[in-house]
Amino acid sequence: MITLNDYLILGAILFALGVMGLFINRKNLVVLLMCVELILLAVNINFVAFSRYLMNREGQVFVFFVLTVAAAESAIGLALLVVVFRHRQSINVQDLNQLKG
Amino acid sequence: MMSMTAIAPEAWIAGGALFVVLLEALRPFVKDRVLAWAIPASTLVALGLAAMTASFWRGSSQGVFFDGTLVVDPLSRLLVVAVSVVALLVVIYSVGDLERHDLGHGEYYALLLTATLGILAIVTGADVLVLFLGIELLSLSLYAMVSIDRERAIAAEAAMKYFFLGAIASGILLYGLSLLYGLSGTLSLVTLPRMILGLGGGDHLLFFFATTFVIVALAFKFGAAPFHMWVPDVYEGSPTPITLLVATIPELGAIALFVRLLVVGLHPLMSQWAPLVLGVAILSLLIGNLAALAQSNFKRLLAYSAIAHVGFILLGIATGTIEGEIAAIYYTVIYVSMTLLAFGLLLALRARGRDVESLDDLAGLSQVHPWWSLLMLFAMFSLAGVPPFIGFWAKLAILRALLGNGEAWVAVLAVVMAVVGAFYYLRVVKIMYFDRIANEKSVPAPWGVPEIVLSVNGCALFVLGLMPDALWQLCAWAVHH
Repeated sequence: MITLNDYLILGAILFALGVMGLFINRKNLVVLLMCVELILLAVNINFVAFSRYLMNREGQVFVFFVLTVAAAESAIGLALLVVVFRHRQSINVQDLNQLKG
Repeated sequence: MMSMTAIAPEAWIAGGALFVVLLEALRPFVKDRVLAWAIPASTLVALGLAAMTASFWRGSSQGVFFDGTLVVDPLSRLLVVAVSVVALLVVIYSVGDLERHDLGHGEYYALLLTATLGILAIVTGADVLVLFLGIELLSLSLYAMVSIDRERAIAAEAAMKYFFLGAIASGILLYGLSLLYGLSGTLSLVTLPRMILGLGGGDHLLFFFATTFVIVALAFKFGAAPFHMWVPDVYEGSPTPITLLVATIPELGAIALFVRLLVVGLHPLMSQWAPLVLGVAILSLLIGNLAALAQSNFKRLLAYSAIAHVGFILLGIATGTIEGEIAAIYYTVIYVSMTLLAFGLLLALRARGRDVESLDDLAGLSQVHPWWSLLMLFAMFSLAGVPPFIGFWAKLAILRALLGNGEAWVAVLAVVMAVVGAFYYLRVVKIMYFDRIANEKSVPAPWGVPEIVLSVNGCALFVLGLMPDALWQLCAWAVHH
């Protein structure tokens, strides 16, 4: 029997992986985008699990909106990636270092 | 039918955004000269109609609409009018500069309108889902706007940093909201406080996690320390018309978010979030003011000063009292009008051949442009909180709220930090008035509507400072009803 707790633990692990990936990864901007997606999907697991547990459909509706927003966010993220690549010929995180102070 | 009146301002803005995109699509068939006039004009009309419908027409329709997702109350009316008017001023100040740098295409105006629409959703949202969608609509528009000048390498870098930090903030916010949903079983901000009280605060630890996540995310979005890393980069990296936008309208959305989500929605958990907000506020005051001392780039200096001002605003929220809430809204409205003036002046100076990047670019400004440097002096004095400028009354309101709540040591700290802040604002004035440069020719530029509006904006800081009560009464009315 899979309980609510199991789902929440899975959600928490995925969320933690996403956040850690964002801070540990120093190489590639595409990996950062993947981490952002992971965070949003972890949240979706939480919402669906709670929605089922509470027998309340609002959480599932929320998930659809989160998915839509996630898609829009990656579209903008990839567009920015292309702009950055045109200027730097690189998508290395450490090359984003012109602005300081 | 009542519901349609309730969203009239939002409908104008959304319609305006679509109309601007439509006009831009006609570019191959229409003369550029016509579009250069028609696109800003339709943006201004949409924003003006939104402000008018919010202030007059909506008066009769108070309450909660669309199945409890939108609320029309005095606070949302005040903020909708404020946001629309500020967006209107942003367009008026930037239109010439955008035209000169060939950025004045439809996308700027469409994104400005969608960003405004996002803030209106935040301001009128009575449901966590609507707030989230508003935040995202605002943020996504801003990411795109920061990098609107594709030739500018630092703009791309700033947009990338802004995007990733904003995306993390959205993720953290969503995680906190999902916990809140699971604990309380509702997404509505109207029923949320009741549900939390009904639970008797039994699950304190999870609630604590949820509020912490929410506050971290809101601090990110507001640009409060220790989550302020993106603010200076975005201010410096983006073209000045975009900085003007990023520095003004989102602040109004952020204060609405704090009031709706924390002060109203999570009111029963105040003992948990108040200390956190206080901590964030004090850190912002310290980091913002101390880091601003070391800046040589003017836009970066204003960015750190923005962080410091956000600290002041959050001090008002952290008191948790009605007076603190009014003071925070009062401060935000005033702060936005001062920032509008400062960045508007940078744009006016750019039109006259003086592109201010570093502080030294301001040297001898009073010789060449006496009127503009006088207005800049108004902005700096007001930001520093020198009486009788309106910025002084904003700071005083926050201090009074703190003292009324018995937090004397915080008030003392805030005063000390305000004094530190006065140093770098006055340094700007000193550079403008006392540093001389060899003879400089100013590029003559005719006066138009932007110059007149800018002058009115500057004088308003002084005149309002002589009668600070009117605005205070308006904010008090918005909160009390």
